[in-house]
Amino acid sequence: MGKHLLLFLLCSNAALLRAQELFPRNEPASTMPKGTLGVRLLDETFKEIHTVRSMTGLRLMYGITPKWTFFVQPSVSNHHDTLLPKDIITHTHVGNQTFYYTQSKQYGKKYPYLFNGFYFFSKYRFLSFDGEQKHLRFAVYGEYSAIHTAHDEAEPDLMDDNGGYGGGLIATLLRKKLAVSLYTGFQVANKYTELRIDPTTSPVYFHTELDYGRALHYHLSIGYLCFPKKYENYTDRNINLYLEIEGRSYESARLIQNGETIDIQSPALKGGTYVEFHPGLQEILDSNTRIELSAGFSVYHRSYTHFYPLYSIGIQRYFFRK
Amino acid sequence: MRYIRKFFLLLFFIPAPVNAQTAFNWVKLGVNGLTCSQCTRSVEMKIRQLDFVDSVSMNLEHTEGEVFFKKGKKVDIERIADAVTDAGFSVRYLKAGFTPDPLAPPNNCFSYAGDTYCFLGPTPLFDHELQLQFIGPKYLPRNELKTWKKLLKNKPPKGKGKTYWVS
Repeated sequence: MGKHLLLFLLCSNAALLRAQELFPRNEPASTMPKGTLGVRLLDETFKEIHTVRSMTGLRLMYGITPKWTFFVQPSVSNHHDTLLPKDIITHTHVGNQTFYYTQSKQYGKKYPYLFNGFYFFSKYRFLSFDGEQKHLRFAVYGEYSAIHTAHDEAEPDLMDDNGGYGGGLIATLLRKKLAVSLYTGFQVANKYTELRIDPTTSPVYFHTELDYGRALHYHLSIGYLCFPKKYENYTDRNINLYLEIEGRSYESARLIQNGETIDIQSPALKGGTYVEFHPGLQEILDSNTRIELSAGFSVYHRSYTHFYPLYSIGIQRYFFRK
Repeated sequence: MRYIRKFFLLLFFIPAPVNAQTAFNWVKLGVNGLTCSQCTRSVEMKIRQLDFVDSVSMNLEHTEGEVFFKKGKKVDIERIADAVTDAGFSVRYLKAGFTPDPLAPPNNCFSYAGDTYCFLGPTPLFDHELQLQFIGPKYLPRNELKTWKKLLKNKPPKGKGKTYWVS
């Protein structure tokens, strides 16, 4: 944390400071070059007590036109079990402990790595005001997720936890010393249903339907180009710093078991609002390969889908047609 | 008299013949909307994909580039501007070095490799390398294009190939 702050201060004093909008976590309004393929390997990791949880995705991106980018991302994670927890009504994640009220206390329950499904994203840049070393751009985006996991929190996450759809607007300003981007939108998750057969309980069959809350997100990303202070060639070491502030609000989930709406007691299934900040560091090799690391911390309330710090790692490269 | 007038009027718009030495020697262009080397590289890679391009040299600090061509290949200026757009950016200016046919009479329009180039403003002498600045929505930012608005209302002559406005 202290190191990140120091780097920011050092960069802020650089006389030839310039902007960078290749944000590690959020998409800018700019789109990919036409006919270019991009590959990104990304991972999000956090520690739940003593258990390491992570999501790994392989993103395949393509510039359909100069203004229209599309990507598909299959992912695996160990966020959930194959079925919802038996005590779904009361289970919760509090601070640095996981409580299961109906059972003895457990720490960071182990889940297997499971294939989540596919996440699709597309953005279209509809307005650009370009100038010398500056631009103001606007894009709309749509997202669709073909994912079905036993996600046991109200907050939806289409990238790796829920099926559903979403959309929104991105505005990015790049002006020599500053790159600022606003990424705002909504997400509507599909209902999750499962049939659990447990001969030890009565009734034996449990048909559970979990209707997740709708979510709004509002992210602000800021980027700084630290090095080189003056570009001479493509092999110059390029180091960028980022600060991404991410806010989310989501509704409570609705739980229906065997046709009956159940009163939810777990705060993980109730609506909420939180704000996180993610300082990040990026190195670009040969003006193409991006390697980036960021760490997320909570500043206002918290998410129940992950613990802090939330580490994000990404490696990305473009492949141009010869 | 009427026929003589028509003859001269026609002459005004007939593209001049091409001599074997005539050629585009280089293109210099400025690119708008970028600051990073990855973006500049994207522009360079898109221009390099053009079959008539021999080499590209980009100035990363000033987001400008110089393009050189393969000998004997037809140079398509519009495709260079399109390559910049395809990379996700826009052209700030596009200038080309062109060796004209010294024997061709100075004309409002001249033809080269099937395309027609017409001057907006005074016609230069054809006894040295011309530096042509391309005028049009693909070659200039919106605000600069406004200064050419009146002259651009003139309709260029219809030719088989592409028609460019230059100055």
